[in-house]
Amino acid sequence: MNIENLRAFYKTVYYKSISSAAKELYLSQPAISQQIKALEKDLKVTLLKRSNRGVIPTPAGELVYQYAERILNLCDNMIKDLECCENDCINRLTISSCPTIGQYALPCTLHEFKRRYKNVTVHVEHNFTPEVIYNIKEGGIDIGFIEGCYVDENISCIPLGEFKMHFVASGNWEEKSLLKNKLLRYNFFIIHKKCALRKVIEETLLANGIDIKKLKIEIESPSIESIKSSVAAGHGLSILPYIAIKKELYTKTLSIVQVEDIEFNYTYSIIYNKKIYKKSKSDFIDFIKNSGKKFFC
Amino acid sequence: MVHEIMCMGEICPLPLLKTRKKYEEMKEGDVLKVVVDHRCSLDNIETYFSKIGCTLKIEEVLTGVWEVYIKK
Repeated sequence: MNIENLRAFYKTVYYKSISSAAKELYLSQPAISQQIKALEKDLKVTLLKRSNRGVIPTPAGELVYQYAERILNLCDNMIKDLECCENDCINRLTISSCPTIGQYALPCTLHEFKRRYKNVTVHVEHNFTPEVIYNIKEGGIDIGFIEGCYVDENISCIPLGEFKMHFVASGNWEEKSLLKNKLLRYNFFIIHKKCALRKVIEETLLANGIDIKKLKIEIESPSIESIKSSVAAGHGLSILPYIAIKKELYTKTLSIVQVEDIEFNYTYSIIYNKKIYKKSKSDFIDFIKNSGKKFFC
Repeated sequence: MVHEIMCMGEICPLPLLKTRKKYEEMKEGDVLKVVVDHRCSLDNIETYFSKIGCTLKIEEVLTGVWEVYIKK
């Protein structure tokens, strides 16, 4: 099977159009059709149905499409790593991180790591935890930072310790402690379901006899920064990680509200694919194991 | 005279660079107050100013937030 044929098929299904795929790959439409036919011949199945609304994959095509995404990602990352390898000492390290770690804790660690390993180029992207896990499993990304922990036969996990979230209100909020049953009175700005912290919030509340559906949820947002602004403006309460609100607590634009003895605890971990060896990756893991926690912001 | 700079949320090496710049502008006897919220910025500032022989006072005002006082 030719990988370029797979790419032609992948792009065609992605855009639902042969002409768009041809444009992106700088090929003619007949060339793309030829490539897809060759792929169908190799795999001995029909992959596409032509209709007047464009092309749609057959069930077999759907399956191939899902594998193609992983195969092409891995292949692209392999080629980039090879280029780095050829250029001698330039190492490439790719990191996919959940937003809270990526924005508030990681910058210092990376700075210190780059100071010690001068010829490593680091690429960071922010994704939610499930996507980070997917990137590590299938996407050829070296290092992932996630909320909670994840282990399977290919993936190792190093816990980075316990962190806390708190109920927060604006800086001039008067009630610094509240009873559980009063929570239902206030508007809430809550982290979006896509973020793994949301699960921690829901489970902790439930363990304390509060159903999150009963709270008055004004807005669900994936952006901690926008939640902070709404809460600072006095529009309601939220539950946020401590590392994200240090600055606002110091400047007194936000304050912590203690609700009986409810505590939100969660962990962060590093995950990586233990089956793929790369020097920059093992350097980074050793660095975190030996001194990393000290350099978390 | 007491000078103050806020380095909350800023990433290394920015806090140290800002602190050094401000320190150079100060007169003998002035005090500089720097607020940092990253452990590595604190370490950087502490190492640098101890090396050049300054007296430092460090206070952890909130968990993970430090006020550093440097006397020239």
